[in-house]
Amino acid sequence: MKLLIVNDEKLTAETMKRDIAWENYGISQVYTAYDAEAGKMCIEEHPIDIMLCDIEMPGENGLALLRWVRENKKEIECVFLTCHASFAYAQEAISLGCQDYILILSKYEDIGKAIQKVVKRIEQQREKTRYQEYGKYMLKEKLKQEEKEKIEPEKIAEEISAFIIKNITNVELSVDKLAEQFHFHPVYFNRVFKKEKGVSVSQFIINERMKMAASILETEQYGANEVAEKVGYSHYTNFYNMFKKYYGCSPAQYLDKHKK
Amino acid sequence: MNAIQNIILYLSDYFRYLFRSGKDLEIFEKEQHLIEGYIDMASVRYPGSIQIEYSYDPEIRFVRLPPLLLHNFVENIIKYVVQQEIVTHISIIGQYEDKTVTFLIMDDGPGIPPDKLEELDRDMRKERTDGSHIGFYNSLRRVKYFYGDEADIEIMSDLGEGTCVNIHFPYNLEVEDETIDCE
Repeated sequence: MKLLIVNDEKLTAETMKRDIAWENYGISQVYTAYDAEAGKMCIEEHPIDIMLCDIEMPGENGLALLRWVRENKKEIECVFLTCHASFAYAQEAISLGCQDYILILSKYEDIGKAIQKVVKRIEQQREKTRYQEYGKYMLKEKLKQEEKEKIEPEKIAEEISAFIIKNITNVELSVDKLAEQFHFHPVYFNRVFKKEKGVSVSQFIINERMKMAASILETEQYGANEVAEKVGYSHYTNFYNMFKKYYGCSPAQYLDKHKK
Repeated sequence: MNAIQNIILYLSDYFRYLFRSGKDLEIFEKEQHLIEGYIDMASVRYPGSIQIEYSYDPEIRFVRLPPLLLHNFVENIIKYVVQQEIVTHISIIGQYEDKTVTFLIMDDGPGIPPDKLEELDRDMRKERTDGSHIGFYNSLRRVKYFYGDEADIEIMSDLGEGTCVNIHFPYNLEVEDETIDCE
């Protein structure tokens, strides 16, 4: 990462550049400028990542320089270096999004560490952005792909109903299990099915079982208990009550009616 | 030991639900959680006598209910139907069809004699209760209060075939399609 030191005291700027072991703190190159104007020029010419800036300078001060950076939408983080522990400065610096505030005199080590913290923050931020970009890209690709293999509700509903009819005697048949098998969220699964078939999955299962039960009953070869089992009910209670709800009469009454 | 812990946990859930603050309707999952706890507790008293199965449409878990609406009927089954040494099957079904929620709570107990069933239905639908069958009376009043006059509770029973309580009420659960914002 590239660092720009802006300080009107030439000697301070140059000794900081020379004497701080910048490479240990994640900085690969250091530029110096002795006033705000020179700082701006340097920023225009080089891709600066972090600015270590004095606040009090002849001409434009450090805050003005940072404001210029923000107005020109440069992606540069800023650490201020000052001997004024003034609240007004701090307040404006924060409102401009300055990352840190070092009061001098400070140990070189502390300055280095403050810069290192910013380096790490930038790296994390960039990584996050990269992941976001990647995520967006993947999402777009996925949507494109899905458009290609567009889900056809009609076809799916057909497939599901065929599967249900084929497995109607299985007591384990349920909306949740079917949704899982067809890789849909149960609510969505039920909605797609209902739209196409006019009834919910569970009602479709009941209807099919009831039609089947009636036709088995009519053969008069099996008792109601056996019929319940044959059409996929684990308990006779469920079968009995569903039958009454569906046909408006008990299995025995149904048989009586259809004999005549 | 474990059973006692579960009973205490159930009771704390039960009372918290009963005394919960100010809300009129509660999400179905809480009701279901409580029913399961109640069945666990009843199974300690009637070991091996209770078999229960639940079958709900996926939309049912978004339904809001007056608290203990289903629980009351499950309690009735435990109180009047379940016996030691006899296995009772209980089945609760929840369906969402044509903007109507239907709950069926059924058991395969001895059933209710026709004259008793008629009396029960009459007591439930009275203008004013004289205190008999007050649980049914209250349940019907509550569903009509919350879901309108179309809401109803029907009790069907045949001797030797068990009893089925049918609670149904209008309910709109249509959800908007969620769109993925890709920008």
